[in-house]
Amino acid sequence: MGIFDGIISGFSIALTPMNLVFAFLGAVIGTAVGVLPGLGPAATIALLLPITYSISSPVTAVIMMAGIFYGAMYGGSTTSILLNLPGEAASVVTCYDGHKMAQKGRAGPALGIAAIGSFIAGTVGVIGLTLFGPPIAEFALSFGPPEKFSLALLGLLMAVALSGDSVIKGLIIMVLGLLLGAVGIDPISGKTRFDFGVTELQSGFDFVTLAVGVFGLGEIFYNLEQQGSAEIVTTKVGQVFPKMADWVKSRMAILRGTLIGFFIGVIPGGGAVISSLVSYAVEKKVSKHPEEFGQGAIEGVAGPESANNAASSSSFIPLLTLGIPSNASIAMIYACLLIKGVKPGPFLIVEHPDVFWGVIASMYLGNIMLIILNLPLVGIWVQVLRVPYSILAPVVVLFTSIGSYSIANQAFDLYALIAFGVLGYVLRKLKFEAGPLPLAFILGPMIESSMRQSLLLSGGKFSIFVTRPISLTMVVMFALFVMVQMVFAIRRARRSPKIQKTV
Amino acid sequence: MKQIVISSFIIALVAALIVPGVALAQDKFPSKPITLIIPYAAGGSTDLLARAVEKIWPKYAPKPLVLINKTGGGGVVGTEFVVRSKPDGYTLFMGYGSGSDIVMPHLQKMPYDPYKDIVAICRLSVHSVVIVTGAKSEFNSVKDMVAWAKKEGKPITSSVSTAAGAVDIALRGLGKAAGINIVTVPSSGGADAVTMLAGGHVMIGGGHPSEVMPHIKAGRFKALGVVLPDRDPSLPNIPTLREQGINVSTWGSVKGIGGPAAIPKETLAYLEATLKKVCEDAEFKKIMADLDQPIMYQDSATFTKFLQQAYGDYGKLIKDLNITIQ
Amino acid sequence: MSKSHNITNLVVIALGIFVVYHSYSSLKLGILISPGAGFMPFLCGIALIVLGIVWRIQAIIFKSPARVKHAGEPSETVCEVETAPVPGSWVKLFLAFVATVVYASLFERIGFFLSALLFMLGWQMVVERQRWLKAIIIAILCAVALYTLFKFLLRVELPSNPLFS
Repeated sequence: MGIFDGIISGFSIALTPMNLVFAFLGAVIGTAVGVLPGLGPAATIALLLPITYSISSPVTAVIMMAGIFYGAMYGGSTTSILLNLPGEAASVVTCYDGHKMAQKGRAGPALGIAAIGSFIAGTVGVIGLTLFGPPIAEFALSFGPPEKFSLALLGLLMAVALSGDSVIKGLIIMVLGLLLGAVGIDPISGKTRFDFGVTELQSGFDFVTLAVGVFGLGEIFYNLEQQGSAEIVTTKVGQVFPKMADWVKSRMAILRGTLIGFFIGVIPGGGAVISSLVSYAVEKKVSKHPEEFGQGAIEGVAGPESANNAASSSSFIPLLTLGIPSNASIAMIYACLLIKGVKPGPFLIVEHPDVFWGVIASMYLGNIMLIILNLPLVGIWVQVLRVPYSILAPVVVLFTSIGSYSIANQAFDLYALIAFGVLGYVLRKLKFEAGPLPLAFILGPMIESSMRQSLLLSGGKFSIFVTRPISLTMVVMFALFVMVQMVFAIRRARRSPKIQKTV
Repeated sequence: MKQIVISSFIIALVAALIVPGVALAQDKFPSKPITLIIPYAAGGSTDLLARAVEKIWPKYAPKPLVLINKTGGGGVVGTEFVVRSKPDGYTLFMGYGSGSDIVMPHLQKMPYDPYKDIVAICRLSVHSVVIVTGAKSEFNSVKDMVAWAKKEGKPITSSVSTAAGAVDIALRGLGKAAGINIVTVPSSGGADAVTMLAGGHVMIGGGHPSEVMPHIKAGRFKALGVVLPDRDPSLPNIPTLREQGINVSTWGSVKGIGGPAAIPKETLAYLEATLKKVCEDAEFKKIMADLDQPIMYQDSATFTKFLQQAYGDYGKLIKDLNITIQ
Repeated sequence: MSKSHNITNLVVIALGIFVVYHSYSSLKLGILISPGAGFMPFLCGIALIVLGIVWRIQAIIFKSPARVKHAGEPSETVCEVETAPVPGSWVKLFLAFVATVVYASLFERIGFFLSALLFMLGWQMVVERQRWLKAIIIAILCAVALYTLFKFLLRVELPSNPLFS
């Protein structure tokens, strides 16, 4: 079946009432899941999997689960922008400029451009999946441990771009993040690290608890301390929709973010996080006003949000073309298909064209549904900021506590959340940018595992990182990036000798 | 005055919340969903088995199973969670008898005793270790591979699911028995290991039939051998290592359901019986066949004895071949 | 360097030293072909020590002049005038912190609903100094709303009062 015929048949399947209903259901649930910090799409899909068993058609089941998955990417930016609470790793980057925009009364445009960027990126991602699926999947497979190492390292470097003015402080935070990520059982050797006998630490810290604690709770504690006895002036709610000027500024960011997200998202494990990071760094670099980043630059929201949505589309490619799941949510979908007797793999398109094309067509429709769902919601979400802080703050604390608790059903996570909140407060007080922390936390284990795997493969030779072409490319990019940074820093210091960078 | 109003209000509130609770009677097991922890990654063979059970379970029990993946430490994190949970039968785990239970204790200290702290509810399946390689590889059998390694003097790289797991040990055992150097590269789970091999980053890979069969059928992989004493019933065409002249066999990864040791006897009996019904269900048999997983039910007592034997066999293998953890 | 930055700097270096020691002794470093569990933490520890020292040197070399920003100046030359952290209302922060810790400790013992209720009540009355009637109303509304949302609409597992079941 040619591509054109396939798409037509796919739409005829996706447009049946049953599939439309389930697509919508998935989109709604996904958005809700994305908005709520603590409940991730993978866990939700796992919970709903039993329901899919009673649905006879595998297409319908996958349509719903896929809807949840990319719906969560739409919703994830909402709490990041409004409350500085990232719902999952891919939304952390959105917090930086997104929340600053909200604080300046520009929550509406931020949410709006996030939704629009997500829609464009998601749709383009699905188009890319349709047209270039198989060759891109092969490309993804060629990413072995050395390539993953270089890519994650590159991502970490981009995280330093988020460190604000003091690079030294940013690096310290990054190393701290790496160490926090090392707490727990080491996957390669099986040893527990830094647990000091505390049982709950043996599984390590949870990302959501850390990010929400440091960003969300940290900000609440800081605000309480700063405002003293007076109630915080409730953030003014300005416009609800992005202006034309915002759109003009963001459209290149959206385009770049889409491309970055699409290619990096295909790579199994960590695609969405790294792509949002790379997008942010790229936008900062090409911008004519880099100083705006970190203060509420709309490109800093448009780019990463597009990147993570494109990544969620392209992460389906390995599943649909090769039968290999790229992340936990897709692994659930993989399991569901197998249980239903459909074997995902290179022959899926031949043996079950209805599943293949039906799911793809439904992804187009799903994106449309999501933008229709999310844009009007912007007006409602923005009202959240009008709640008096004296009520909003404790409710956020309760909210996030449930999210953290539900991860392992243990009170320890609540204490960890509070501890991270204190850390976040301390960092703010001392004028450290907390940005690189959660990102180093996630990327650290990836970097370490890939490095050790690579060394096992090469027999201890570090040359493996430069002899393989893809890895070499990234190492070169890494080196170039570092050099460019240093040149800029030296030039800036020389230009204004009296005004020094202080600590 | 204000104090009185506040205090009486609070007392009334608290009373209103307590009184209805006391009136509730005790319900029969299971009166709420049972949590089944999967200590391994989604999409791996243990995960798939759990999902197959989850699908059929509601036919025979009033409340469903709730599956939660809790990965880490080669299975230790999830298992430990169950060991420390309340022994009321509502928190169990899938995969009792895997590498973390029968292999790992020989190699490193465990945060719990896999035999004293866990009670065996029943065995469901045995996942053998299959050795595979890319379809385009020059190896067609384990013998070819061993010959190549001896001639070239270079190590053979192999992807495995988790460090010190059943697959890892099987491959290291193979290496030692054949006298060649096999470097095992641990990953985050079965699916991850398969991906590594599919990308051609390692020469061979070890995995369970569930994980590798789809790729063998798709023509991406070919099987070199299976590490059991006799041929695996779900893979009758793949010769064992013994048949190819290499004297090593393992039990693979045994998959049963376990719970905290202090579970009451009646609850245990109920679970045992219900799972037996699941194993005899026709739809379950079809799903397991699709998944390339053999159904090998054993009740609690038999399974406990089997585990002791498997544990002992692994201990002997590790000692004979002088396998240590790095 | 301000006092708090000074202390922070020393903490960073001390942490680095601790990590290096722990990695070397308890977690093995391994050999190059197969780095052990302690390899990466060891590098991190070294990085912390180095960064801490560089930070200190930077602070010594570049003294911080107070700089007045003129209107209309381009913000491209970035200069962060170093200020000692401004003391704010520690009291409010401390009370909020205590309220949160108490909530966490009660969470599993008396169930979500009650502990959330008490938490909101405590926050309103003590942290925000609301009048008691308004505080109770807010507390009840919020607790009920959150409880309904999570327990019934989303079916999240929440601890209930042990006296119940």
